Amino acid sequence: MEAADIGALHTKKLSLWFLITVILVLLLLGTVILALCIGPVGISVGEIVNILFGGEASWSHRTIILEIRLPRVLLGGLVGASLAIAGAGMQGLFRNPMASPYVLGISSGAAFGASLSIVLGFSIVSGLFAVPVMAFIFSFITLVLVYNIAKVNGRVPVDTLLLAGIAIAAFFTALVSFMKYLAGEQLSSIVFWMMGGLWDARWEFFVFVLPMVAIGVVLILVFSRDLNVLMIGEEHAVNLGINVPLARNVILVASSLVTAAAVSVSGVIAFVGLIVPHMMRLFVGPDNRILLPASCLVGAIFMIWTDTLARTIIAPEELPVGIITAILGAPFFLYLLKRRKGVTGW
Amino acid sequence: MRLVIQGVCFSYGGSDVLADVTFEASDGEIIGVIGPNGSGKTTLLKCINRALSPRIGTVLIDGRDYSELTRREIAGNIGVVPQNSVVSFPFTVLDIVMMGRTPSMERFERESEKDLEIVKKAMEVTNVVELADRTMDQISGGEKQRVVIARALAQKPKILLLDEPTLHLDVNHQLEILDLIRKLARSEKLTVIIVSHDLNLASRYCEKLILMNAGKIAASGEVTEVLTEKNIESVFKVRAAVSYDRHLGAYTVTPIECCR
Repeated sequence: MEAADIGALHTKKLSLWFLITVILVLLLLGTVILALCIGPVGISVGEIVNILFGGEASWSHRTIILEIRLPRVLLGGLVGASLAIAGAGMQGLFRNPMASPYVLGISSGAAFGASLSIVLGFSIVSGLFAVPVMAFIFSFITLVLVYNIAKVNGRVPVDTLLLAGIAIAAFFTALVSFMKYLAGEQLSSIVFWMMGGLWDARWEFFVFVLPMVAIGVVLILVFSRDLNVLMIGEEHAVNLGINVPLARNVILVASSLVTAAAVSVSGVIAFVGLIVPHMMRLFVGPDNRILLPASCLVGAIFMIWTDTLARTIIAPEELPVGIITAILGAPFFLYLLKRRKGVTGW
Repeated sequence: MRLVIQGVCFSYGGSDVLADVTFEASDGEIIGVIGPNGSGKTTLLKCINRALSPRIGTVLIDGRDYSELTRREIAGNIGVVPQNSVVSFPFTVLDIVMMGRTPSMERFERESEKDLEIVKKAMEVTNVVELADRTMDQISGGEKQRVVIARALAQKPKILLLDEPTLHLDVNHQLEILDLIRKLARSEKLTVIIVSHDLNLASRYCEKLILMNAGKIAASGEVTEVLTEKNIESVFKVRAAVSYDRHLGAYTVTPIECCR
């Protein structure tokens, strides 16, 4: 390679990133449209476009799309995008391939909050938001607990954070087991909530989640370059002038925020947050400036398709989407993992 | 650029790891910091780029107290090649060197033509241009060290700090790295501070040496003043023969036995 090629190499990388982003955005749009077509009542693409953009369509189809399928597809997209970007953020932050959005115990805390509401009927709000709000609040209680336990002399070492997360998760999981023991008739509600699903999707939830996800995703993306340097090592980051505590806290809190938002309306959906970032790392490499947006988009696409399957495969019943994400995702990921050659690390 | 370290003390909570360390360095000068394990060498480097803040004492960069500077401004003046430069992610060599531009870029700024020029030049002098599109896991230890040096140079520093830059390298690559550092000190007018365990390489490549012992400077100055049999015995607890090698034009240290 010649020195002159350095510029060309750089330009090539940027155009590739641009191309990847455009393709994924188009795929996402296509996914949304197709997922809207699929269901007990088949509705054509043309009719979908008419309904979305104010053209001719039957009243019943319009209701099915706008009141049932659209909120579900959009909420699914948000949940998938949130879990995937939070997973990528946590993996980079902890420099650990096992990290997922749930690594700090957020999902266990949320499950406890949800079960308080389901079993004891205890919630600070009533009605529609009783469960989501409790799940969300306990997610944040978990984060604050874990963070403060891990804090030593004003510093928060990531390894301690990880261990504190595991311990707190175990604690809340035990409390959830206790709630299950007490649950009686409500047992199936807790169990289904913890498998994760989007059957309760509705516009109100979408509106509740959207601002939090938007803020969280933007914050994570803003700090993507800092995360690159943090992945090389804390010492390197300091030497390159990064404000390490700030960058770390922003990524931690933003990832937790989007995770808590997703979990509060969909339960504990397994696997997406762990695997989608790894899949994307195999395709686009480790640079967070492309990895984070790509994970976000693919997380949304993956979630919408698996949820479409979940609601149609045994119709009129539906499966918890968490089952499908793992059954389909795990073999596909293992296939990718075996296929790559000559690359060490992760 | 003139670097003045004045009365620097540092502790990790208990007793002082550095006590009253004072010395100066100027342009184009290579200073070697030597001493036994745990004598405070790495801590000293970290205090110089403020990765650690001294408990007492000041560091002046061209007369300016660096506690007035932001992290980014310090990173724009001081490039560091840390001891542990293992990169476990498949970033390309170009990505890694480009990270050296981080301190001079605003958060939303893209790499400009000027940044690319600086990166290109840093890669040329360290001879890593042909590795540009390889990933860090595909290159050798010596190449990795050159890449991390290229990244430090991409910061456009006036001061370069290196912590054991030749650790884990074979003799050929040890000389290659140190020749490169000497060349850079002269051509870029860099002030270079190297922490090393290799007394012979330190004696060959450094103009001045600082011998650390238990957080204090035990001796400093010209190589001949510092690398004496007496100093080595009192600091390293090793009896050694110091002799002048006329092939090298430098003093060599041959350790003989531990002192009881």
